[in-house]
Amino acid sequence: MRVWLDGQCLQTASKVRGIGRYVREFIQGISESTPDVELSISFNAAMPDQAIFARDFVRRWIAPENIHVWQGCVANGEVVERYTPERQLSELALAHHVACLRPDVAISTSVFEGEHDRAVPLMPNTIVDFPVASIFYDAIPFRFPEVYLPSQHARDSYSRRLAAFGKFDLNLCISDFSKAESIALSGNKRAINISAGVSQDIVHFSSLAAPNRRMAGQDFVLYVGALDWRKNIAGVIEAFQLLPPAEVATLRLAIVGDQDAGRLADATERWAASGLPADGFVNLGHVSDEELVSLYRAARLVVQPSLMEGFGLTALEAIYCGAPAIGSSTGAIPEIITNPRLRFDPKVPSEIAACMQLVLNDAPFRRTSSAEARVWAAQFTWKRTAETAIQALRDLGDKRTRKAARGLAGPRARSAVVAGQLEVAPEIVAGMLARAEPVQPAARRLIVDATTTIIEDHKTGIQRVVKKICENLEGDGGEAVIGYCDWDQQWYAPRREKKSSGLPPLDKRPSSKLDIRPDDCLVMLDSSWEFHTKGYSSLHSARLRGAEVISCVYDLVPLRSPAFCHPGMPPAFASWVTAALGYSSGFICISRAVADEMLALLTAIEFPRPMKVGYWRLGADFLPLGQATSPAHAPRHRPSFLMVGTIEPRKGYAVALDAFERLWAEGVDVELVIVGKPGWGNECLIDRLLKHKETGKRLHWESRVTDAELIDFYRRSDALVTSSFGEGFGLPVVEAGYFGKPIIASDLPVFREVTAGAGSAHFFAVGSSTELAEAVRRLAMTEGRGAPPPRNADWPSWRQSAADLKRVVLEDNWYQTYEPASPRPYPSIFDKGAIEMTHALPAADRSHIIELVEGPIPIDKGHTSRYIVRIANTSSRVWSSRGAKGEKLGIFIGAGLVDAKGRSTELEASRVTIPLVIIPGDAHYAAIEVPAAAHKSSRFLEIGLQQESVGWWDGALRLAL
Amino acid sequence: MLWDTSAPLPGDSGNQDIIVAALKARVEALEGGLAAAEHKHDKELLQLKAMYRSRSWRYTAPFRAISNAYRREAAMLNGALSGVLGGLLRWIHLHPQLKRGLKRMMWLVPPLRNQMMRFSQARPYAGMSADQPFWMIEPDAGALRYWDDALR
Repeated sequence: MRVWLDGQCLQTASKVRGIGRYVREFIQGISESTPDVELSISFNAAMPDQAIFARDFVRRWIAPENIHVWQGCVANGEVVERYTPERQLSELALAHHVACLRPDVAISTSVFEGEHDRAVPLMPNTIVDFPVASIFYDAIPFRFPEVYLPSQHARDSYSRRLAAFGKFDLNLCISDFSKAESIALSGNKRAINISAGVSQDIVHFSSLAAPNRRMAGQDFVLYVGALDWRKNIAGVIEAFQLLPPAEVATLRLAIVGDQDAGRLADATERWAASGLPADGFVNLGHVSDEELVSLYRAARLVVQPSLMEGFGLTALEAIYCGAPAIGSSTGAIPEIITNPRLRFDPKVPSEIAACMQLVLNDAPFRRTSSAEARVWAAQFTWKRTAETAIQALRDLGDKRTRKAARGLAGPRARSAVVAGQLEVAPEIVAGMLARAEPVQPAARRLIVDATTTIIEDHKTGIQRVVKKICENLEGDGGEAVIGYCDWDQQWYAPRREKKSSGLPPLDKRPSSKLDIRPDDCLVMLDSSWEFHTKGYSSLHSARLRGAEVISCVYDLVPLRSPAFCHPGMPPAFASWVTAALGYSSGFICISRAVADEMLALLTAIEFPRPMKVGYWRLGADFLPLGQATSPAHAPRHRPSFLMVGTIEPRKGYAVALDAFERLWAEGVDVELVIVGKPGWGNECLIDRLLKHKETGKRLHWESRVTDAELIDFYRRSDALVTSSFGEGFGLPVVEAGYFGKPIIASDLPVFREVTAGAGSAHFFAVGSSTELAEAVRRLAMTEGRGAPPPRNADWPSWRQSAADLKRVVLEDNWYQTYEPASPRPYPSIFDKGAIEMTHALPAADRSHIIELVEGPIPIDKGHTSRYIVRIANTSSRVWSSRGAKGEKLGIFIGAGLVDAKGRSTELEASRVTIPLVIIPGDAHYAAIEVPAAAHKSSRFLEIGLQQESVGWWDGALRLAL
Repeated sequence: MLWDTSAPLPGDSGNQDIIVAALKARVEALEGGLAAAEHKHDKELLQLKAMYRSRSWRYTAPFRAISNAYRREAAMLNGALSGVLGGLLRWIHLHPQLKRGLKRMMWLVPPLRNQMMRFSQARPYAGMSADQPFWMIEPDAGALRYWDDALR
């Protein structure tokens, strides 16, 4: 049997209330207890971010191909806008959507959604030709209209929806009480009690015996739930006043739940005004299910004093966990708390107090009643609920004679009749009904974004990867498409002409348009931070449809080592990472080391959603050895060490030059050959290279070489040296391995990873010229002369690399899936975790070490001095320059000058922000720029950390000027 | 009529008295707050009227008029210029060769380059912000064609 569910209650505020929890457990119950039932669900794209996280959330129980989206067109709730033509159109669109899906039965899970939001629940209609059931919870607003239905709009909206229960084919009620209420109010006798059950998580954790830490050693009465009027917390507070003073002195009232601040303040004020001990009212806030179970077990009593409840889940869970529970005698609570001595009239505080005293003081009664109640509670399972509901739905389906016709013709004909009666412009109706029709499933495609490279080839490293992967995408199974996204968020699939290589030219003909399908997998291989000007809307829309969006991370250097990047890069990269955390369903990295860094970042910021993290190896197409321009064993005078890469601060050429200068000074006869074009920010080093006394003798720099010449350099060298401060991959290391050369590399995880198969690799501490000099000396004296013969390294070609990428993404061959340590249901896609400072840090959370890496480096024609410092976060807290809610709590790296008299002046212009975060245990390289003029009247420069509104931290680095 | 609350319901044991008492207390509290707010409002209105009557306020009126007119004109001019410049940037973006040439030229004048970068980064060209989602799902082209034809 195929059952469709309206998923909108998992998108609105109901998702964190009883209704959302009920539907979640109901879905889980059906998927686990009735495997022959094929569940499908639809979300409303008018609440897009909620649709994305609800879609991700239900994937554990519902197959991805059975999760659909449709789109309503109301801007606000019915209570605000009334029953507008747009709402009527949205109801039609949903009915048409469900009719096109053609399940055996549809369930409208919460008819009262959309009173204050954009939800439009499924109503009884003439479009569908299969049974439609609903879930009826309670009619509390009907009972207390003065409180819950204050306006005529609210009453009209509620009446319309309540009346709908008279027309559903079946009302699934959550208790005998709610069934009686449903029949009384709607007159529809097609109603059954499917009840509810103890949450699977509560069942799981109740089998573990973890004691509660927060309330350890305290006597407390536990209340679980919201604090709105009907929950009657006021009654409990009044009952506390009636307890004997000796009891009140030690007994506390503990409140659990994600409370509205105003209601919590009211309850706290009421407690204080009643003269009860100030520390007796404890708000525990939202707790995990594990902690909730431990609280149930530790409580002396659990109370559910509601004026009305459709079921009584709190009491049931408390009883199941073995807690003594008392509750009101109204609504459905007597169906859970069957012993009349444990019930009270919620409007009479003295009755509540008497009931509390009975349970608190009569230990034998407490034990026996709890044991009896637990036996009763054990029958309430979601398995039973699911089976009862499914059996009733099967009976319902059997009574209807199904028409054999399939396809869209029937629903379209019926919807067209209703559409013609709507007072909405036909083009809008057409658009809404077209959006409501489910997209037909198709084979999974890999769409590789090459937008930036197609627009303009800057010949960067990333663009080289994009070109190489795109050139080698075809073949090896699975459909792969090169994608381009224009300013209007339209995707195109430009096609390459036969026998041509490189990326296809930009082609925006209508025939090249690319519609993102639910089964597609979009890999953002190009530098997609270009997309930020467009709000990433096409990526969000793709996620909404169900497509995967995988972002490629080449390295996290701009976040971890901003000192080695162009000043514009770290903030741009940080905003890209922040956005990508929202729209991405996974990250693919170019090495395991980068994947590990990404996982460490997600863990440290307590990212709230699961995230797939994988890696694949970049390719390297080596030229045949025969293309070299000189013989492999040309005569050499001394051991030769090669460095390959652009001359830029990150590559650490200054470290290598320092090391070789030391060796030359000690009389070690070695040669350093640098191959790389000049990059940015190293004018001083380039000057040093050009004017060095060893230049042309034992120091050589080649800025422009061909591939064939590079092979010669590799072959003639005795070893490769790489002294980078940060890398995402390390192609020269791979190439040196191919030529069988020993490697001396700074001790970065990525170098250990790529040298795993190399013949000989030596590592030195990052940034240490002393250790590098020692490694070169050792190699020159012992190993350098006997290099192993060249061999073909075990490294993939670009064709294999492209196939690897497809395998990881299309076959879900991920390295790890990050899971949050304390998962919360339905975290918003805009929640990026702990990337903002929320409070002033105490001394223990400010522990750090600052070291000078390099400096002063004269820049800007000597007008400015640059200092590169390494900051190690040795605390257990994440640090960020962002303060939550605009508060001045951000952490910055700053500089100050100290004059001869010991007075210090902060250099505000030298303040440096942390691009995203510094995670515990990580080292961060920052560059401080100080005007040269500032040095004149000062003796020392201090570089340290400060938190806004708090001040400088201890442990600043003091440098003599 | 569904709002006939006189009809007894299963389990309804009468709670109107609680509601009435709670609402009465709330009304009294609100009335007290309203009186205090009205008093404050009257006092501030008197102060404001006194200021408008003052000699200094009247003497400075021409300066304020000139200043306001200047701000209005400047805002209009700024808006028009921003629109033109925004359109120009978008057009340039669609012409890669021209863009490349202009970018090279701008590297020679760093202040102009920084100014243009700040301007372009502040443009929400697509009218969308990541914090205010209103993404749409695109309809299937065939379905849209069908419904356009059917409802025309």
